[in-house]
Amino acid sequence: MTATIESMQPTFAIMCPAIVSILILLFGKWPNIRESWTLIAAIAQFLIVISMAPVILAGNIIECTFFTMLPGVDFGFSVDAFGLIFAITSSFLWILVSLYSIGYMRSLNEHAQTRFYFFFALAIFGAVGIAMSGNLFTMFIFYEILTVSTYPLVAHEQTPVALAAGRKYLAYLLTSGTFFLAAIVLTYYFSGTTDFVNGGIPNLASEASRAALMVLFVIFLLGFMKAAWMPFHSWLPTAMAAPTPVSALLHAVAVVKAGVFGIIRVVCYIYGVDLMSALGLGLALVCLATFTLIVANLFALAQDNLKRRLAYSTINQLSLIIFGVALLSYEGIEGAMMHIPFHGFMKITLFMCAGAIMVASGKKNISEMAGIGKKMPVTMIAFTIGALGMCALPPTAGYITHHLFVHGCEEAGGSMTIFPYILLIVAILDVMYFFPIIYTAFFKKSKDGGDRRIQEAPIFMLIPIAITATVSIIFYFYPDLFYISDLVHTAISGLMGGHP
Amino acid sequence: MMIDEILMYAFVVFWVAWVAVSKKEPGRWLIRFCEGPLTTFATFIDWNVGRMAGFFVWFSRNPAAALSIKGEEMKLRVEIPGVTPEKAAEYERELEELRKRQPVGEPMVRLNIGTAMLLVLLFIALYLITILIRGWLAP
Repeated sequence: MTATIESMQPTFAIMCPAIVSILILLFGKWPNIRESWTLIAAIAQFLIVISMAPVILAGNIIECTFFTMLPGVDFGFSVDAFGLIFAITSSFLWILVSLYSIGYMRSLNEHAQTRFYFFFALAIFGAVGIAMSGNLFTMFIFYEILTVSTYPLVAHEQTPVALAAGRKYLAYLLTSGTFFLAAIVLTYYFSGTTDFVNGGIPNLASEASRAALMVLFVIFLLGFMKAAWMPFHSWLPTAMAAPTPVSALLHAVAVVKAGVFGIIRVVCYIYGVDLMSALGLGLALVCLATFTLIVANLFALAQDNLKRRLAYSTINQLSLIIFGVALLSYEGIEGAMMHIPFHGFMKITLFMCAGAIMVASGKKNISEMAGIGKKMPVTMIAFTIGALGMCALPPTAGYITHHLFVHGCEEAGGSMTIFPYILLIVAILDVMYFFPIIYTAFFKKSKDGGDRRIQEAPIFMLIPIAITATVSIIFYFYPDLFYISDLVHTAISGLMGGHP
Repeated sequence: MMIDEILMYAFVVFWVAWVAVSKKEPGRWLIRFCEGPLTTFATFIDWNVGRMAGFFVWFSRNPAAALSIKGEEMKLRVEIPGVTPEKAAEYERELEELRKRQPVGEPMVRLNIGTAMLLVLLFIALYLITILIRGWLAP
């Protein structure tokens, strides 16, 4: 039996980055103090978030309501098991990215560092707000805060390329936001509420026609362009103009995960598995995800710029999460929920490695990285671990979720039983674009003999890389690290009962 | 162990063996296809999406003038093959006059990115605080 506990804990967790953003501005002239505040806030936020896990695992929901906007629409937070998974991932990775940013920004002597840390904190404020939103309305507000606060990070370099990337980013995501708002209004019109309900809003099916529900679902999908599903994906590779910690934030922690998080919320907590199945939307979503999975991998094969290749890999992996939830089976949804933190850790490792290579050697293209593995062994071993995870090979977290997706297809039955073979093709394509990077780094010899001055990146950058790579392996042996596995099971039990 | 897993390991072994023997990555034809036709197609789509967005921006500056310009352009395309060069030149001049009614860009006050975003966020915060206070004060 689910019990609701009123507590201010979610508010404290969300306010940590908001408060520290003001302190960052105040202490902008003292870099050491400014960055200490960032780290303190990140650690405090993670501790508050993780302290909620035992309460949630006991079957409770933590709520905190501020005001009622309209009858049935509150502004407030509601922490359930699924939301907590996203919050734990975001808050823990914020600590590591903050540490990494110190090394990166100082090594490259980047301009406007106070602005960078300020908007970085605000982006985390938006991401954790999304994770803890109790309904679509609250989620929308934080969704827009996340969009607006990440624009200056994308355009940070202020070069024409960076500014153009920022404009494209805003154009896509603000347009997406208007679709999201339209979908919220329609949901409210049909059902009189925008709350997330385990198994879906009960009266949505009875109050709206079949066609209306299908149209509403399409509007919701357009509202979640942050998930970078094709053909609305091109903002993501373009946003690679940003500094690497921002790319890591966009691709592993905040923005793209907010997109897939929203899609899972809509599928499982607005429509519900039964209604999705009855409308045939599961198969449609699987087809969309499969198209993105394959085409994104083909695009990745054509990229020589490392960050752009990783960006296409992200598009592929996000679609894997959408694919999992669209299977509408226990193990499919389990894989989708678990892949949010697992992919977060693996992909952030890859991005941080790309940044470390850039700082240490100035190289951005894969073709220039011959022999770099011997000069930067720690970085490239961590990169190899992350790449193995993306290829769903053991001993990494990616292997666990790949298995769940394959089992999910079998559990779904019918036409879904063909999809494990498509997943196999996708994994093979992953190998085809990740293995050449490892091969180039470790086994190819540089034509000019290589730059002897190249060495590992500063220690502030290496520590987070080593931690995330290690955690990617630990998840393979112990998926319950940070309560992830237990939280996923609690979330799915609420949705579908026990394992079939 | 499932069949897809065995096939996956087989491919990894094949990839490594191929590279070890031939010193080249397997699947060059696929990579060439991705670098060539696929990328060209993607760039074409991206360029057209950008053009479409640009059109909407241009259209929104003065929709009435935009509609007449598009109408005139359409008329010219249909009529030009059948008129004399002098008449065609006259049409072009008229169109140029019409195009002047559509502002190319508007003068704007430019702020730096940080200040602009800070202002936007301040407005959001102010809005939230107002709503919050209203909610608390309500009976």
